[in-house]
Amino acid sequence: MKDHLREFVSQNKDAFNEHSLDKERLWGAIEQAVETKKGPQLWNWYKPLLRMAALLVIAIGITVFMYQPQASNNTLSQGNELVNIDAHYKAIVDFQINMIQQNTELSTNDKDDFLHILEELDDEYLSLKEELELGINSQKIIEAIIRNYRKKIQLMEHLLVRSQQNDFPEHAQEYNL
Amino acid sequence: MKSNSRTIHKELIEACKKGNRKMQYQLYALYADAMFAVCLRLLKKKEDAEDVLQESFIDAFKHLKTFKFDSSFGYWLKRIVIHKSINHLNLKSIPMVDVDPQNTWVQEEEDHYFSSVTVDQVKTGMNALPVGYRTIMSLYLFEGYDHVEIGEILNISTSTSKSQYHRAKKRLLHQLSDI
Repeated sequence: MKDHLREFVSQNKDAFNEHSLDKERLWGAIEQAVETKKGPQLWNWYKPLLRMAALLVIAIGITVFMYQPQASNNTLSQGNELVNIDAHYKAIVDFQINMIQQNTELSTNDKDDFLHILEELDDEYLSLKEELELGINSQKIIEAIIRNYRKKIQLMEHLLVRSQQNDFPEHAQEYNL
Repeated sequence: MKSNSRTIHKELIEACKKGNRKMQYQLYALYADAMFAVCLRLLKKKEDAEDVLQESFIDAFKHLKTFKFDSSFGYWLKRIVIHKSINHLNLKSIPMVDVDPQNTWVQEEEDHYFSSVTVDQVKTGMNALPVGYRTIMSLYLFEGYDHVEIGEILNISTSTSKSQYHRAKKRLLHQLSDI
């Protein structure tokens, strides 16, 4: 059975579809809604990264928080230790320098040259002291400072002993540190 | 040529899936008018049609990743538009009245009426139909669905779709005779 209505619609389809749609205006609303709905998706995508970043910041914060008091304690502790070391060895070094300066067996030039060698050890001492303030490998630096003092004392003992034996070498700077 | 067009279309849809806004606009521009016509026929009011069209495209872009090219994009989009329109109409049930198979009045009168009416008269007549009739008539005459598909869309039997279409046509012819 022929459907005349269907045939009529089919023949005039374009005329039935005549209408006016403001596509641009409608697109604005669609675009806005799609962006809004995409927001949480993007957030979800970034969420693990943000979570990791947040955890990292917290971990760094905790580390810094935990580290700083320890560093302060360490610095304080190492500082006290250095004061004790200085008090012990500096007295010996000062005593020996005084003995060298008063030694009549040594010429002024020899004395100056030798003390100049000691200045290099003094520079090393100052460098070690600065490193100690940073709080890194404090124990090793303390040990190095003690070795520095002992080296000075040892050198001065050798010089004083040799000067007394009157066989002082011509070139004191030949002492190797 | 058709295959080339399909490839371009597929590329356009794939770009849309990746969120390319320019491509999404192109896709929208391609289908907006046709889908608006579907909405307008089902909903009558321009404002309602625009609202449903907007919702349909938002849903389409939101769920575009689920579109796997099993059908044409137009078919997929039209199903969204039709479902949205029907939901908008809140069409919960279609009157279940069987048409009298002996009633031949429609067939006898059709030739006379459709040879003399205009498109505007048919449009006016259709817009005056009850919502159930108008929905089935729109789906059958304009959207190209058969009664099996209409039954699935409206959740009614195929025979109910057929009978309601015939009743709708009969009502339309009566209205046209009054114009």
